[in-house]
Amino acid sequence: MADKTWKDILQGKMPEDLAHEIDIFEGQMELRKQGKIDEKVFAETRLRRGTYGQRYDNGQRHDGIQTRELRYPSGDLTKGPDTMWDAPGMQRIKVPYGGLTIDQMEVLAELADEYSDGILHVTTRQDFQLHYVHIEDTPDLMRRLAAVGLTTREACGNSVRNVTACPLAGVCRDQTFDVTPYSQATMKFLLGHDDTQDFGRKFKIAFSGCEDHACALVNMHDLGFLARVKEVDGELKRGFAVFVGGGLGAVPHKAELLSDFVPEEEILPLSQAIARVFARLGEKRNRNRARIKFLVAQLGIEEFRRLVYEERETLPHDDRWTSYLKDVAKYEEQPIRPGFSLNGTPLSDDFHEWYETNVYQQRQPGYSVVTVNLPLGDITSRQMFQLADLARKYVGDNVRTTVEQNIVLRWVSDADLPAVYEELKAIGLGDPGAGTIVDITACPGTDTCKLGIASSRGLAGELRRRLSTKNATMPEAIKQLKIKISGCFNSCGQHHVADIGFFGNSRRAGNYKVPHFQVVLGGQWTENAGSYGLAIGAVPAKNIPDLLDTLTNRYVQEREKNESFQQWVQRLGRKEMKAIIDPFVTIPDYEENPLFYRDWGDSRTYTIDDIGVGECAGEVVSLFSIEIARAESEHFDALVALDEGDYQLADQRAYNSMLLAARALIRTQYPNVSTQPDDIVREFRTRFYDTKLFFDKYTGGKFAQYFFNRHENSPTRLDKQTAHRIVEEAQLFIEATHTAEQRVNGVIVS
Amino acid sequence: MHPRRLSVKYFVTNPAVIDLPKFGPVFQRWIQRDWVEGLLIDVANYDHVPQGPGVILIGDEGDYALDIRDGRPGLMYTRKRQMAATLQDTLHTVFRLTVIAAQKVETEPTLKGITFDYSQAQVTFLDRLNTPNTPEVFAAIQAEIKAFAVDLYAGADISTELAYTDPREPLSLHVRAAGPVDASSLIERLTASAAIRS
Repeated sequence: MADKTWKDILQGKMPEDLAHEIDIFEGQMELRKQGKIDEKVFAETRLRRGTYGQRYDNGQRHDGIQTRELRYPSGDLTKGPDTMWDAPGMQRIKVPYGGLTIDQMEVLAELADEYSDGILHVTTRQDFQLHYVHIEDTPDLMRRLAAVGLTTREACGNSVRNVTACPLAGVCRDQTFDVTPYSQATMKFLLGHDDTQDFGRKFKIAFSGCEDHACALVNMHDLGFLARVKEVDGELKRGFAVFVGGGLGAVPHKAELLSDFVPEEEILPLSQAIARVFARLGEKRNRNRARIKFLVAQLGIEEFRRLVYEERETLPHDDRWTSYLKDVAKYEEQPIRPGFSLNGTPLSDDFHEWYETNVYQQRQPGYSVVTVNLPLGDITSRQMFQLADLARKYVGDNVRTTVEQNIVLRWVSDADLPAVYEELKAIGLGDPGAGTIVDITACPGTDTCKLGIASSRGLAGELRRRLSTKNATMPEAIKQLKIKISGCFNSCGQHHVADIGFFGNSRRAGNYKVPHFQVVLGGQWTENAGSYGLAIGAVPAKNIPDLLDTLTNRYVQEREKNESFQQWVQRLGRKEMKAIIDPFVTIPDYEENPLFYRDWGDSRTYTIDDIGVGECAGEVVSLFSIEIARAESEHFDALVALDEGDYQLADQRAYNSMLLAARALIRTQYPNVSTQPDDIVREFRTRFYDTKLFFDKYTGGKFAQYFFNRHENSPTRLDKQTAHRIVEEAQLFIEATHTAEQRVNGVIVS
Repeated sequence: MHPRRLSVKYFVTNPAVIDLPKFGPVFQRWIQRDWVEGLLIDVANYDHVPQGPGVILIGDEGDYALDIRDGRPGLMYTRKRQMAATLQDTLHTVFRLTVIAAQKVETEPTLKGITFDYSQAQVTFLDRLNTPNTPEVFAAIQAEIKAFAVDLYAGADISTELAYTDPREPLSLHVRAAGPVDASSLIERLTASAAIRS
């Protein structure tokens, strides 16, 4: 008798369209193994099912002594360019608006056990990720998810990613109305829609119920909806303020207001029209400028708006635009326990500490939201089963993930809070400090991400450990700060919108590389990610904990009455902030302190060569170090000019800094290059761009394009946004120059 | 009843000496020196997760871990791919690799003299499709495990016990041999038996 399969068992339990999609994917896997599908085509197919590559899937890894070839059993078979078939990968699972049922929690726990390493990781988009998954396990994994209403479809690739929403939607005391059913309808409408299949890049959507809190961070989204109510013909009507073209990434853009009120029946057709305009006019060839933020910036919001509304008029009617609205009025979550107040029970000190940070009083009297604080967003499969039991007992299916990598239990009767706390503590999930400085957000970084440059999780773990020991005695002003860490400039850890943000980069010291983090201070999490932080400078990874102590101590000592961290950073300004970090930038000699040349949580001498192209021997290039430092200094002055509102000067200095960086690199090959901009650009292009020596494996020549664009096109209109963009681009160009110099001139003794 | 994934764990006898972060460097060194069998890929560190998978040496066919689940630290090997043709053969491979790895941990100078109890193992079937945690499957598997353990422990009295009664958990058994057992004799028997099997 043939072995039973998940496909047989789950037949009829999966939505037909998802079951069919998974069968197609399984068929494509077979065709790829037979060599009948090109690896690039298969890679896009795979990514659109949320099946990502993972670090070292190119078949090589530096073990701290040498780069080793990983000889997988399937030999040369690949699942994408430079991506070995057998290499462990990451599976992303979409959780629209973060909403989870008990059944879904239990299946997720099973999958982590059977296909991954026993850990479920909550992401900054309310998704789950499983790591170290073999591609041949993915069809069954997807079937088991589909049977409980979850999908991995379009979790990656150039598609509409998980639609996020405020985790307090529906229970928030300040919300305009509950955005949950709208986010759900948008997800369903756009998933697999014909008009969302031809994007040049990914597309992220968020729903927020109010303006003031962080909620869903609509300002940093490709498309953001902010709940509004407006009086129309004497009746209160629901709708949304709609924002477009926001995004973090290498160059952060704040979203532009497309419309201050779009009635509820228009949000789906408007989204469809935006998708069509993006698909038609968005960049396709250069993926580094393919997000919608570049299209909005290029066209200007007025022209973009005109095109969208023009497109809207041409759309053929679709019943789905409004059919969901009949359910919106009926949509209501139900508690499973009566809402009694918390009274009379003697409570422990640790309960009070937890209550202060992890409990939010709902708008519905007698009920609270409990935040389960997950260390680095991780929860074990066993804990997930236990949390499902706890949900079954106290809240039912009212569970959501958050963009701060936690899980919330909604509709907890206040009278149950002490019992919930004790039960969470018993399963290792009773940590206090949710939403405070110890609750650090971090992307996967070098642990598993192919693009990671420094260990964001390693640093987050170290900071969390140190801060937790001081938590009880920490001043309130420090406790309330947010730390967010990304492993590279791509901002998956959302460092731009933290009080204290870090993103990974590297620097050369003699013949070694040293992991560093760029320090970004004073970003704003509230007001839906209201503003972005100031980049101050790069600090060696091992000095970050001491720098954090100094920064927070200075803030507490020097802050004026009720001054926020963001206001303090603004008041002191970039120069003073730079002076604070300057003592921490020194790197000891390798012989004096070899541990300094290792990243947090990794005992190997640091290198990122196993994710890039090979290295070659050379000499220590001290001249480069001196000259690139001049470029950095010029760039810093550009930042200061930007802060002071002198956009003309900011632009000029940013451009100069790029010229200085390019010249520093050229002079490693051709010392006699002149200081004339045209000569520098010509030599740079010939020696480093045309030869692709400047190209990074993943970003290609993206950052060189910033340099060429600025050289060839002096901005005619220099507003704050344009100057800010050029200054940010200059920073990325300088970072890329560092990396290129390390790669081209080599000599990493490891 | 052959699972697609199976793990064996030997428990630490002196958990107080465990310094979990020290396992990262040890496993990195194992990769550098090909210290244990299999294609070794990377180290995953979950020392921040209470009662979690601990520190894992990720491999292609299988993972080695200093696992801290259930509050009982132990050296665990999980076979993920290239399963043998029969359950007996798979058990044989997984036990052999677990004992060898545990013995190597005992000799690591930086791990402060960790020791393992080789008379008791936990065998877990990570496959809810083929080996669900039901009384019927437990009964069938128990017999197979006992037969294997009698050979492994050279005729010692063997007892088995269901580790998790919650049917959502994977089927898992504690296997105990009466009397003291040392790693070397286990390895000797497993190696000799491996030669016969091949």
